[in-house]
Amino acid sequence: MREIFLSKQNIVYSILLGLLIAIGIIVLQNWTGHVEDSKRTAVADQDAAQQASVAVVQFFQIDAQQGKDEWLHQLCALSTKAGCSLFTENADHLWKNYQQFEINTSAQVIQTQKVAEVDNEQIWTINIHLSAPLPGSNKVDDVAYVLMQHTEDGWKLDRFLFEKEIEVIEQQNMQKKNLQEVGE
Amino acid sequence: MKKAILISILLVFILSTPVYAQEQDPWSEVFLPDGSLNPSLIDLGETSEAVDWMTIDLPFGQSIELEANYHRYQTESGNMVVMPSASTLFFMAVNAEESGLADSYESIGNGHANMINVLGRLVGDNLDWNKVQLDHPEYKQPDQFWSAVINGEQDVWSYFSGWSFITQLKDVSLDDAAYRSIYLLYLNGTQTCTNLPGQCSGVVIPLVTTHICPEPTIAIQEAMLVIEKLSPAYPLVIGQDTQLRRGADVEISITIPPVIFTWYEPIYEEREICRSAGASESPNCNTGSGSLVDDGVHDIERIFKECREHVEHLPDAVTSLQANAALDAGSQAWIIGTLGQTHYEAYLHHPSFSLVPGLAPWSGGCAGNGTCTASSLILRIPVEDPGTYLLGMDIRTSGTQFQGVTITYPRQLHQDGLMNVYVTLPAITQ
Repeated sequence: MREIFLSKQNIVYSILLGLLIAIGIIVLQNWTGHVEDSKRTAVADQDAAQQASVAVVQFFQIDAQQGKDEWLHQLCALSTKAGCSLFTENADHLWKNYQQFEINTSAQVIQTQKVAEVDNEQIWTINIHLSAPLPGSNKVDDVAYVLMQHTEDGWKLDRFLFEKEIEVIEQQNMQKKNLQEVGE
Repeated sequence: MKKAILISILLVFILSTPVYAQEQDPWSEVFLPDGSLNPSLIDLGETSEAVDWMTIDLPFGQSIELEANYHRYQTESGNMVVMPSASTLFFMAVNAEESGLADSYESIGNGHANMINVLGRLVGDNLDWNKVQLDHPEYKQPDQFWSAVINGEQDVWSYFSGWSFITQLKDVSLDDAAYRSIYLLYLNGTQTCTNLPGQCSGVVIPLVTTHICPEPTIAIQEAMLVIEKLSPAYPLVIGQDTQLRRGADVEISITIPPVIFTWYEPIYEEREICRSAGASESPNCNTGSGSLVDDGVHDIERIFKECREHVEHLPDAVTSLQANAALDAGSQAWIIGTLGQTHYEAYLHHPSFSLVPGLAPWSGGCAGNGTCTASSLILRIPVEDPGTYLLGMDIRTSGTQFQGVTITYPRQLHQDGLMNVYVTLPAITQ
């Protein structure tokens, strides 16, 4: 039997090499998973952004002649069940003005940005441009904060955010931004 | 004429607004010892109002005004009991000052404990308790946090870990027993009803005694409101109803019994007497006090004889009536989703519409006995979409007056109903 002599140095090198290979395998596996997760997240975000844009355009695309029912019909198709109920039960006041002033506007999305998310809910800001102002305002450019919910039929508009919710989200994003700047 | 003036003066005196002492536990006139509602409470029914603190501000200066909804009662002493719907309760709690919650006396039992319990159930896991503890270690339990929110000391909006639960709150029924325990008490609420949740709708003006006769009483009987499908048993959508063109009939009927106002008129007897003469008066009779010459003057004295009871049946007439039908969200989703998968281009045709005044007028009036009625019959409604329709009716009454004095404020009443409309679908059989 032939005896193989290993110096202490060689043993240390061998262990280090083994460790490096193991770490490499783990990093590679995680990186691949991370890339897949990122891809999935990006696709989901793209869907949510698109649905949010379509829903917000539908909400502000007003044709007083076509009427509330048709508007609601199209909006409900893009909304959650609870969202559809909310719009259906509370749209009279909006539409009274739209019909009184014979509003006819088209809407265009300029920019979208995800500003918050938990589980199957996402908050998006949608910058919108209208072809003509709505009653009581001269603005044709504004920002909508919308809650999108992922349902079995995909992303749906749940509702617009309350003012206090918007304040909290803006505050949290400002804090995050400040922390990032400090980190850099 | 003279009598009418006298009655008016008497009523103004009787109806002057009192300030009630709250010596006993004010809840003792709301609940009986066995925990049931005191039958002497005046049931003011449900009332709704658009409020700023439930409004969603939209871009371009638009807004969606959600309605706060309450069931209210009035106590004998003029306190008000308010029971908010689940979604209203949530918004009241997170806007304690603006909503008037902070002005309420307290919930029945242990402070606001019941309300905190219900809020905890409504919000559920959507409260980020870890974040609360991180920012506010002084709260050891969620109850302490909610208590601070209700007292207006703590903002809650930063601590929600989800948002869609708020949209779903309005589907929690007021009839759900779990949420029936929230009664808010407003001391002397009838006097400050303009600041109350639901304002002065139907509030009875408090009355006080003349100290000579029993105090006047007011009895309000509950209005009977019905909105329902009359016929046929199974109405079909218009496209499948081509032969008979039957559609659906909806009947609305409202009966408002009179407000019974009972008041007591003190009756006096007049008799001639000889009273002591004043310094400037010339004596013309003897008072019988021992003087040998005339020392008094003739006069008329009014002596209380009895209290005469008057029972007035005051009409509370319907002044406006509106009714609508709206296809519920589940049916809309079914048409667009399930039906849309099997029937090409299934879509919503006309999911909501006005019944009154849209499709029919209403009529009403009051009978001699003070009972007021209103009704409408909406015949052959050409319903275009199948499913369950939520029928809603809102009415407003005139309130009641007697001899020019307001006895009860106008009432705003709401009633819901349901109507199912059917569609026949072809089935393939092998």
